[in-house]
Amino acid sequence: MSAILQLENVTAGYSADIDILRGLNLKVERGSVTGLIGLNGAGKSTVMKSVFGFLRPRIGHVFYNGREITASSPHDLAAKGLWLIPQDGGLFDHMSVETNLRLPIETRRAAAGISRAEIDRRVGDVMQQFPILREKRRQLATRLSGGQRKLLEFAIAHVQRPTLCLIDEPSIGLAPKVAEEVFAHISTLAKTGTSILLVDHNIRKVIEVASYVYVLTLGTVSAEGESSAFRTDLHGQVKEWLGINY
Amino acid sequence: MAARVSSLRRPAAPTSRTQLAIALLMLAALAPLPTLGLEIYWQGVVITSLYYAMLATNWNLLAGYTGLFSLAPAGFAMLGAYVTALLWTYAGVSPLIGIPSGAIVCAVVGLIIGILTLRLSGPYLALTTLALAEILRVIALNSFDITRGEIGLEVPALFSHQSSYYYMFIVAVGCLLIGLHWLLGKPCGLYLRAIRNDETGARARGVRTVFWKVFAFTISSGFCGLAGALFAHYVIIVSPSIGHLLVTGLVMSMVVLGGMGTLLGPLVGALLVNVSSEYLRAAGDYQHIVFPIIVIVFARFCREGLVGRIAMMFNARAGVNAARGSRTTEVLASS
Amino acid sequence: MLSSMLVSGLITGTFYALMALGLTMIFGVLRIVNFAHGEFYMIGGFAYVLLYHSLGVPIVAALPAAVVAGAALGWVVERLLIRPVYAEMGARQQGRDEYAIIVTFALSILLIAAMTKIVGPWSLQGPRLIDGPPLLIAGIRVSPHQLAALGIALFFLLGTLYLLNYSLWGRQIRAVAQNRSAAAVMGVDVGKVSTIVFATAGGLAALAGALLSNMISPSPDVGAFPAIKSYVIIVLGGLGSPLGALIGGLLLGVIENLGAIYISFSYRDTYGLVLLVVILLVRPNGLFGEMRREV
Repeated sequence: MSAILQLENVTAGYSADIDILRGLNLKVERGSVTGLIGLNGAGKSTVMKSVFGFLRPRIGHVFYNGREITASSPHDLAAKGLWLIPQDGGLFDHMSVETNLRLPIETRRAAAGISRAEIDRRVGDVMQQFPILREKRRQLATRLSGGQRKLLEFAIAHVQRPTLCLIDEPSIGLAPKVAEEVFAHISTLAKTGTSILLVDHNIRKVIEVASYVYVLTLGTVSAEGESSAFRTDLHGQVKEWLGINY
Repeated sequence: MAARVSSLRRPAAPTSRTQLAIALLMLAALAPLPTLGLEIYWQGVVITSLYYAMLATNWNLLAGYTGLFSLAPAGFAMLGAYVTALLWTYAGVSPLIGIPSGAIVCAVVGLIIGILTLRLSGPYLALTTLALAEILRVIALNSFDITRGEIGLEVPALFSHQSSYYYMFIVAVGCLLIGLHWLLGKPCGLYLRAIRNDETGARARGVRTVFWKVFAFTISSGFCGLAGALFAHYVIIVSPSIGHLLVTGLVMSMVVLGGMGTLLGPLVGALLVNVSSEYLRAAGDYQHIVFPIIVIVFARFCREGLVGRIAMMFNARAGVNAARGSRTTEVLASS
Repeated sequence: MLSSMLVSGLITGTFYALMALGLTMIFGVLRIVNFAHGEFYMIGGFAYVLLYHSLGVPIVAALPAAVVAGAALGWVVERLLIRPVYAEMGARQQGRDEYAIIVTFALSILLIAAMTKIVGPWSLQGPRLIDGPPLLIAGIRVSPHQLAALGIALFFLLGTLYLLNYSLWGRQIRAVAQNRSAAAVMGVDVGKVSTIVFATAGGLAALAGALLSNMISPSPDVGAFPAIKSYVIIVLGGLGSPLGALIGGLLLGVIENLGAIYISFSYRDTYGLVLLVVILLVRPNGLFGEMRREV
């Protein structure tokens, strides 16, 4: 099995009698960027929560690297090399930018077997890559702008070098120019060998960055395919899958 | 499907009118007992239970209906009792004026504490009322020159016969329950329940949440004071022990056991807890060990309490019937 | 007179801060107030006194044992009563607050009643840490025992604050307090942190109870006032702020002592309420609302 992440027939929901995900099947191939698109309420964020242990699937299985991780707790998954960039609120507001960068990797140090020197090196690299963060390293995270916060979250993910990174709506609420930058960082992260599952409402950008795309409708996959197949007639296809003019 | 819709539209408990009727029937059943030869001792137990039922009903208005947690029902009862006792001792004021004064003073203190704490979100009310209750008790204990400390102040009796107190408390509890039922039927009742369910949502819908929270807390404090003042003239000695936190603990057990947010629950809980306390006390003062355990178990596994649980069973049956009924109509309509 | 009262206020304040620190840590991480906090204090006091008097355990062993007893109680309480609710209720704030208040208050009454059953309602004076004639330091008389108790309290207080700010363990606790889900994502076992915090808070309160057992003899309901004072302190310092607990504790100690000289000694326990009212009026978020996060 070469898929890094596989969801098999996953059914999940928040209250006892309402299923948000209904028998969902999905795969993320090792080293690839896989996109997930769908209308609001289709269950995109619920997929993220079900994988990352915040929501226990009622039926079905989740496999990571060929091992079952259904309903594992988030901290166990973090130790196994998974990472999540949530839609919002992934930072510690009352800690400095530098502490936000260091604390996660220091927490995972023992599990990941990383030396302190390696941590310093990685943090240094990231500071090079994100000059704005180096400038504001001593400031509290709460003082950053929305775009800077998102960059910090990507910087933190870079420091982790995760095997698989789930990214939930990274461009939401950002100015187009900053969103551009964010998508560039997704590509950079992918180039370092991290497999990515990407959810975003910006369908055009998702198809551009991802190699394989799933369309989620009411909790199940309604269409899937190589993203190249989507590029040719994006407008017509999106209209057909999602029932909207794009 | 019909069952689900009906359960959404109706409150979880049966209409509080049914509960009010049951409560009034229970009080009516208690009323003739003294003439049927209930011993003086057990009359006293019932009177104390009814006093507790008043405190529990007021605590329930806060915790059960509005979602506010006061840890001072006993503190306010003690304050009400001391107001009438001090007025009598130092100004010779008649209990007929002293008792309502106790209620008013408590309502005013409640209003102030409410304004201070209820505009903030967080556990401020519980923290402040706990501090208030204990500190009032210490003031009462330490101001020996005025309150005679632990010895307490003597106050005049209202009646010469214990059975008169018995009837008085039955009437008082009855009026309180009728009043609460009336209040909950007004839009205000809806606001309070909305606040308990989802305060932010209620505010977004235009409910003046702070006003109604302060309102509920003020009334509840006033009536706790009234209960305390009435009780003072029954026990004819006012001491700091009226305000002990153990009393608040018992009040809480009564509501949690009987059923938070049910009209009948506090009365049932008060009778159950207080009568069984008599036996537990005789067995060696186990009441303060047994009831906290029951409270913890109920809070964990039976949040709706006894009355709430029974009401849910009735509702479920009614729901099934409603579903069956609607299916019949559907069949009739389609044929 | 004034300076000696100031110093004794700071000393009392140190013990208050010891209790309040644990309470505010629990609030920071779990968003609940532990209304049984005074009973951790009481258990610590009794463990120390009873181990020494009834079993003849030497002081050097009885004191740590008291801390362990408080920590163990905190551990059990979190696992048995608090944890399941967090696992079940998730984000439903209202049900959680309701449950937490009812359960911890009931627990407080249960522990008082159970202790009354076991040892009786009276109080037992604890042994001094060190015997010896009072010392005169800068014009203030202190007994060696008081000095030792203060030293131990300060060591644990500052040690905990240091660890909270500078150790990985402490920063993880603060991370959970600031953002529970982000802490979980980065690999912090949030449940384990909650248990550790409850145990730490139990241990600190028990330590305060043991250290003060010579000056305030433990009885089953001895915890009520230390607890109420720590509630005042955490509101004063800002719910969830460890530094606020320290400064709030010292401030309350000083204010009580000043009130005792200039107003009346017998009402010194009530000045906290006055202070509480003033804070709620003037600065409801407390002096240091650092760890507070609007949900």
